[in-house]
Amino acid sequence: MTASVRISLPHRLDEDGLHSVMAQAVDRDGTPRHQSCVVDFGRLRFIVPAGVTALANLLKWFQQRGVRFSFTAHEHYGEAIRYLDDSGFFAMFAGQPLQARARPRETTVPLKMVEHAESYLWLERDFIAWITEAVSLPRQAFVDVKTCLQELFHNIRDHSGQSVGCTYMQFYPQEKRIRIALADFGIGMARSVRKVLPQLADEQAIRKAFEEGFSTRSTARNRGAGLDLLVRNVVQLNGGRISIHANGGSVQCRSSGGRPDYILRREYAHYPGTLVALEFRTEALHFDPSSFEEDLEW
Amino acid sequence: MVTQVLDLVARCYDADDGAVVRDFIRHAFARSEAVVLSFEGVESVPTSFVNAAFVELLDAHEFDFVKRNLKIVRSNQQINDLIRRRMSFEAARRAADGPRAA
Repeated sequence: MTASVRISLPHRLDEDGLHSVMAQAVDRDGTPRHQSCVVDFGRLRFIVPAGVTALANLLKWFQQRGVRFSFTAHEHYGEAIRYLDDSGFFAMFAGQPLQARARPRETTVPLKMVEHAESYLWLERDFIAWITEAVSLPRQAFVDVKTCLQELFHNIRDHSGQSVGCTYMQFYPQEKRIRIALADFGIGMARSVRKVLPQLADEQAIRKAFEEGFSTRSTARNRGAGLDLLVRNVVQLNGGRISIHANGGSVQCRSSGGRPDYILRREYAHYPGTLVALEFRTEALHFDPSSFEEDLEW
Repeated sequence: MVTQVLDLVARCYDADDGAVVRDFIRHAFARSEAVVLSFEGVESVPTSFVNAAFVELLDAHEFDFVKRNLKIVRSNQQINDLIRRRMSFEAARRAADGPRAA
């Protein structure tokens, strides 16, 4: 019997580090490299929401593809392992937390698989309840944030071939930032765009998806405006940042002189599906009750 | 007469919700009635709702007609900005594409 291959998590599992994991786990054609593997947590010392979500998404993808996996070197329970335990990661994949004391942190929304059919209520209740408490602002201040997440859940259903998204979020009070990650293990944004524009490289295809009005027409009503709304809400109005990793490319969008600036990268690893990471500045979130309600002026 | 959108649909979340609103508006337009739609109680809407509820009206009506016969009240900046931008964009695209071949 062949021994399981070891997939070693990097020292720092962030948006750069996640590609080293994918390189070990996923072939360039988007199929699993191995039919069984051991995920080695021995080197892991730091992890961010995008890393939590990417790792969880990968393992869900493994489960869907029938890839067997186990964990090793996670018992040392350093800070990164404890953070993962508190996120609900080990409860999700090992059936129970590593330690009974594991608890969701007040500044986080625990790792969760959200079906599209439940996304509306999850956003209206769980997400809003957490963010209003964590950031101490009324719910109306988070209208733009909630709308972005609505768009992303719709995109998963309309484009990925899947109906479920994996999400994890954290509020960083010292930095005054909210970091949100949402991923699916569908066909990937780049591959979806290349159905209609096959000549584009993956990172160019992701960039194309940001153009208002560009649509793959994956559904009859799809008019291609969801990512444009994200750019407006996250980057232009908030001064935040968007990153999308899909298939063999990634695109980051941030404000430069008040205009959205895009950085395209061809990645050396294949991301199975689509990962969207949003970063909001809480200082730019506000609510003025005197001007919230208005009639539409055409 | 003001129609509360939440009397037409339980939520304004996706294209199916938008289709109900669109059909209500179309029905009114077909009877030569203007529509006043209140978004009281609705905090935000995504593009899929707006596309189905309002953009699809442009399939049968000019943008100027919609502007004259559809008022949206008790809304907010997020909703209004999105409706305005989506409708303007799609109306401009239709104008650029020209009349469709029969």
